[in-house]
Amino acid sequence: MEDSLFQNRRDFLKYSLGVGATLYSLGSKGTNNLLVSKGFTKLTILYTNDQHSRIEPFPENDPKYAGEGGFAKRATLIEKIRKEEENVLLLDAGDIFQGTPYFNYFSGEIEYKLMSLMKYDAVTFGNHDFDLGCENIVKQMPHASFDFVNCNYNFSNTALAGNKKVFPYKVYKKDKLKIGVFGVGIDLENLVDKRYVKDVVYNDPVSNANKWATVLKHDEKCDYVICLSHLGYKYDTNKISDVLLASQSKNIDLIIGGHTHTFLNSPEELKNSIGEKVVVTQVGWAGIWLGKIEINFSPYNKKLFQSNSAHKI
Amino acid sequence: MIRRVPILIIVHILLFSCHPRYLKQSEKSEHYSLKESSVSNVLNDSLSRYKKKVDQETGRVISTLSGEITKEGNESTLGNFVCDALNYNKDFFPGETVDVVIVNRGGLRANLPKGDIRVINIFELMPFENELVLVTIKGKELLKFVPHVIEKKHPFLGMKIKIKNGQSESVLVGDEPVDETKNYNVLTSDYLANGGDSFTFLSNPVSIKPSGLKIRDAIINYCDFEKKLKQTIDPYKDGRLIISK
Repeated sequence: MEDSLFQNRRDFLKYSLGVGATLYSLGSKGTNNLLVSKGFTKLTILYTNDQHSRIEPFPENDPKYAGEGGFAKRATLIEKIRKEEENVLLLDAGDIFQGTPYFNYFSGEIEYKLMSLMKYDAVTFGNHDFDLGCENIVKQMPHASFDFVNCNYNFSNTALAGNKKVFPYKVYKKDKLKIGVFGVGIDLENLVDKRYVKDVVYNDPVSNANKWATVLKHDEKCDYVICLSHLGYKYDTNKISDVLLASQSKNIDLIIGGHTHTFLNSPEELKNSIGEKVVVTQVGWAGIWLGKIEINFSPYNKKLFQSNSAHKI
Repeated sequence: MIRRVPILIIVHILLFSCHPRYLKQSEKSEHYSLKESSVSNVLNDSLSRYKKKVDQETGRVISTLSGEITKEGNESTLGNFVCDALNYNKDFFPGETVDVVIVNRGGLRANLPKGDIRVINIFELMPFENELVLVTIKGKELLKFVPHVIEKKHPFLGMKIKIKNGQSESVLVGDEPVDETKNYNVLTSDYLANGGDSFTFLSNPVSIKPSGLKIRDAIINYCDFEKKLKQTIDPYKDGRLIISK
């Protein structure tokens, strides 16, 4: 399953079939324009997770992923998509750091620099982002032009206290749309050396996620709410995961996950605590895939049409 | 309603016909050349300074493997390789004997390909900055390692563990059953000695001795040594962990 590239295209017709069959030929610029002329706004969400410092493609002798991944290839693809699409949001669900000597020698400087060149909008923290402590994140932040979102860690007693690049959530305006993005992180106990994270306080991800998602939906009046999660896709135990969070959530539209390095063949559509739709996705690791979800919003800001694809890098 | 029925059919046909186009689009994306885009040029320019240094330091061939070494199986060739590599460095604790080597499976981050092994491969296998330590614990504590092995198949050396129906059937150190009151010297990483990966049985030891040697450097030392002997390293399993129903 890990080696198969998902090409599932999922289409949800939200309300009227009467809008017409032309919607289904979305993708080429012409029909997109047709929708735009009817007042629709298209949002393109691009995402990665668990990049693990994989700046260059896997070496040619890699048993599993030879030649795959690589920041430059991804940058090329993103640039191409940006030329075709008006409203692009580029996100990452954590574990940017750790996994190649680039991190050992330069402590994350290159990862942040190159992601800034790709114009990432927001990322959340994964456990490995703390591998050299909060001090190191602070030290590398001048190289990052994107925002860091997390709502369930308390950094008050760490080097990240009061940091101006870290937010519980951020709202991004894309054309007529307001997109809310917030982040949740995993319990760092047993995942990161205590010496580095003993002062990071982990709070319940579910209640905090629901709190901030409600703020985004109702106070900030966001059209769409995205959770960047590093909890992991799902577990055999009752340990909190994206799937569990989804079922206990309210006001979240999309959970972009990480940590478990899960290559989801297609985003999973689940029901939240009040029976509404919430989508969970994750694209493996190491930048082998770039995830893409496209949503067309009607002039009345109702989601109408959603499709997804993963691009092998 | 009557009008919508044919539309529904058309919708389904179009929906179906969309799949091949998407497939094509993504196949194409595999062939993007780095030179196609100005962004990737900027990216590569900004990377080159770093790349030069990393390539210089990590490009050195340190060993040759006669076959791929992987994490697959209950007992894994990769786990055995890393345990051997750590054990090779026991001289960092002069005058001490090593009874057992313990590594955590999750800490081994990459398989090793057949053929030449470079420093870079060891970085990918062991990216962490953890250090080699010698921990002395009572047999009673050592036995608490067994449930972790059942759960996660952690690599080890110096023990023979038989698991039947999810229960420990026999646990030997060398050829002897574990004596709960005896001290055992465990070679491991400071990360695990601090209770990492829930290894709390290591966190209140009789004693702990640091080496100042990174686990990664310990593995590189071992590969260098094998290369000096002009020996290839062979993947192997020896039945130290047997799990049956």
